[in-house]
Amino acid sequence: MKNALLALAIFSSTLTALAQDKISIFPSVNIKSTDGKMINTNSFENDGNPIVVSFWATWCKPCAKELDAITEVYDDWQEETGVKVIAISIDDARNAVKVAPYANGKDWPFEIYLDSNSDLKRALNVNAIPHTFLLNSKNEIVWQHTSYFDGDEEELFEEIQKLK
Amino acid sequence: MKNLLSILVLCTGTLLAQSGQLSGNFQSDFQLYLEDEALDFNLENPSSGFPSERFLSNGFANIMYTNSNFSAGIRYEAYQNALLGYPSGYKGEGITYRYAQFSKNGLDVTVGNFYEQFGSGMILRAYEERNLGYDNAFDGIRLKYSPLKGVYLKSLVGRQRLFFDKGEGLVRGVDGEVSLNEAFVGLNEIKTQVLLGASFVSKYQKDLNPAYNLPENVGSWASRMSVNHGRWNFNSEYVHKYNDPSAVNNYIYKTGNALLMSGSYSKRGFGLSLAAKRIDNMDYRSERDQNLQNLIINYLPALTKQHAYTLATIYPYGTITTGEMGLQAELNYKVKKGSRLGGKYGMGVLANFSNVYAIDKQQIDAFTPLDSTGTLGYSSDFFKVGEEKYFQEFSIELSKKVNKKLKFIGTYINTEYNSAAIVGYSYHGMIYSDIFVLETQYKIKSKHSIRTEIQHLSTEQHEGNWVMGLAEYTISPHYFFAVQNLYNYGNTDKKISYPTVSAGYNKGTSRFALSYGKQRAGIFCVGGVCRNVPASNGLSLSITSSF
Amino acid sequence: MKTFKIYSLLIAIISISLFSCDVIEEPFMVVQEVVSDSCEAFIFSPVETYTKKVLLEDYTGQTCGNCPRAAEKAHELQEQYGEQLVVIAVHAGWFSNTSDEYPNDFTTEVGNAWNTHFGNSLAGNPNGMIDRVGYPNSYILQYSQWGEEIAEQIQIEPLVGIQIAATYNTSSKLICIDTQSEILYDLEGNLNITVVLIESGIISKQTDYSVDPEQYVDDYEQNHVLRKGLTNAWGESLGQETYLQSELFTHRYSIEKQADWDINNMSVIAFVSNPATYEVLQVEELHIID
Repeated sequence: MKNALLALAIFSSTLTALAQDKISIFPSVNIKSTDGKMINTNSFENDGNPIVVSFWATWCKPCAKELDAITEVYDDWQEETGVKVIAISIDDARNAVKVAPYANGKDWPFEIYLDSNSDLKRALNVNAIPHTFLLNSKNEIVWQHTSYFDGDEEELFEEIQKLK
Repeated sequence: MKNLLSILVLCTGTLLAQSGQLSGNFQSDFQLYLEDEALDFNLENPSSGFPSERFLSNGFANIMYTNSNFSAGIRYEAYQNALLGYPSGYKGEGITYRYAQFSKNGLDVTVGNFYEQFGSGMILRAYEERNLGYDNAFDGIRLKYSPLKGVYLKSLVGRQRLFFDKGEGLVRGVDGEVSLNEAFVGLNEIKTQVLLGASFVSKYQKDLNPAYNLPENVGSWASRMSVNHGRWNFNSEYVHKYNDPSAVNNYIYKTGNALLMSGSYSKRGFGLSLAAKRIDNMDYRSERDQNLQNLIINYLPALTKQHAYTLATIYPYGTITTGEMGLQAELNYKVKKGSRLGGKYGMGVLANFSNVYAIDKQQIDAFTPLDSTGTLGYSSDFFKVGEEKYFQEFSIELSKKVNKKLKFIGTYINTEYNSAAIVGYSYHGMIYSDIFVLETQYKIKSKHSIRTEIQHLSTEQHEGNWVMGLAEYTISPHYFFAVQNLYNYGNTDKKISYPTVSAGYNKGTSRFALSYGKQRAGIFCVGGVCRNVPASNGLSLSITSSF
Repeated sequence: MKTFKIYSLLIAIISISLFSCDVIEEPFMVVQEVVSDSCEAFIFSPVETYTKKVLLEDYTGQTCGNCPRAAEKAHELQEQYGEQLVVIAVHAGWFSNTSDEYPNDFTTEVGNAWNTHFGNSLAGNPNGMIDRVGYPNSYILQYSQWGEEIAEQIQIEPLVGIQIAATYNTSSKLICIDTQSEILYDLEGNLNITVVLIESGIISKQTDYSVDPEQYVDDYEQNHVLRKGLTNAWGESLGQETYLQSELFTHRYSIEKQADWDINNMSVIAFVSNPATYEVLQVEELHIID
């Protein structure tokens, strides 16, 4: 038991160490736009400005909270940093048809894509949603965060500002 | 030994290739179980599931290496022993997933394990739902190729994962999809987008059964279409499966089919979606004698709303893969800012209606009972709705922000749940329930907020009424603390309450969560399969991270 | 070149679809052995009055620790009702899996088909059905509920009367069975007859939570164990859609005794049911050796 915990502690600290200051390229995976087009993630671009990629689903409450919170400050963010938010839904056939109506009903101003068999989610090693990535002008992941608490968008914005 | 070798090869490969990158994630869940008198959860009562180990753990780690066009990865899983409620097949530890993938010029080759979905998944879908212990990954070879712009082809051959083993049956599949607008130059710029797709899947398993003359190759095909025109969107898929006698369908030889149609209209502030489906004898597995969630080839989505509130998950619907037909409609609407209802911030409205019925079943002749083994089983009128109702639900959710700090979300759900048809409860009638939830979100100061939920479920059947309260305090971006209590006060046998306290710490992609308390017995549904998890009491720790 | 690629792929797809789908034509079941010539027809004599008998199916398993309670209940009820209660112990589902510790396989094709159809093991063993009344809603009953339902069903007047005759030839090991079903009222609808063999007094290991601290019994006596179906699981049709009072239907079956069966402890059970509702109208049991 003690050994197991010790091993765990060593393991997690190694992983945390690995997780620090690491820049990695955003993977290239096919996903679909809400109008059914196949899009490869390597075509994500925003004129050299930062991109935020956020994973969500119609059944995930904290995801909706996060995207609602960003919606409220999105105009200010864009004005200051030119950032673009891409919201990727992992809803499968059960809820896929609801994705566009849900996002539109919420009045979200983001680009919405569907990753209906979680291919991109797996390629990015996402354990659970919400999970948010920040990409720099070279589509490199410079920051990422899992789960959402009220006010987390402030931390995200600080990171976006660092890229300017 | 082989596994060890593969790690070694992978690791050295990684170290040599300096230009590549290494990433991964891991999760560990530990639970210490404590005896509980009220739940009758102890060693003396073996049917309560109390583990004699007292301490159980689940864990996994994925490690992936990527170098431009090449990637490879492995996953190690350990169940020592699996947490209560997990399928009993998860026992022990080992490498359960390893693959190598190469892609260039539109060609993509994967060898080893992979997940895949054709169309909506109703003909083939390999995926994992780790929290429910669902994983039907293929082990084999997959090719993806795009010969022309807008044309996507996939083919695969493989066997499916069965816990730490593989199923006996072979699965072969091909899938093609064409985006007409991309493939034909003249259609590039028009507003209407059309996608067509078709799949063929076949499984092979030897017939060793002396009593039946079984098909060793069971084929199925599917065709699908998706049309988009501005705010309008329409999707449909039809699947046909040839004779597939199995333990689940009671060894009948009828063909199976499934139809899923959905459409939506949406614009800023308004969204409406409608969906309908019919499933007839579509349970499809790579071994004919398997049951539960083992070796399922396809995915038959439940067209009902997926709820997040605790009391709304007490009676979850799971697709009845042998036959059902249903409808679902959902409306999303944002009442404009400044209007009388909307107030300063507007108001969100989300309404959903769904129902599911049996399909019509008629005896094949006057003398053979329905679903008789070794016959065609039954005949069914495609357009006729069966008499038995499986499920119906209406829900409405209103969310209103009062000011910059305070927000309310009110939800009402009315459900009819045919417990005998959906899960094997000891209670066999229809369960009617009404659920009210009031959620309050209050921002105390910058980065500090509190969230509360009050929930009530009333029903005269099964276990009677429930009430629940929850309070959660979060400090962005690192901490959360929560207390909650569920109380089954309407239960005539035993009025049990289930208190839990929990706390968590987040940093970047790492998350630590600790909780202590009681867990109610519950039903968890994946696709068409529902599983009963016993009530328990204990202390649990969960650690996840990705890098 | 491009069109060539597409055509070659199309051909590949079509060829896969051709070779990998077997469509089976009737008959789907391998034909059962025919009645042996060495069985002689039995002539039944008329019966004045038939009494209603009730069928109790006890769904059980050798590793089901609470199942012996249900078996005790069944035994108690049989003491109360005597020959009017017929019991079949159906071993099926997860609790009936064999292992090194529990090597005996008590499952049968017929029992598995019933269990799959009625969902007994999914509902949690032990449980049972009384004349299959209540299908498809509240038909699976806990053993505490059996007595009440039997008391109710036993009041019902029989609509059908069944007689069974059986002989066993010790040298050829052949069991010959004749049944006669007599219609007692004018009836509408279809009727099926199902015939099975059961065996009592089998000694084997059984999980039993009442035994402390072992939690099992090495020499447990398994009774009424379903051994073999002589018809398929859903029976054989009497062949008509309407039936008139006093019509007679006879059926003949034969089967070779298997090596592990003790013929002295075996019975034939025949029951007539309504295939649309599955409800059992009448049941009869006969010990093969008097």
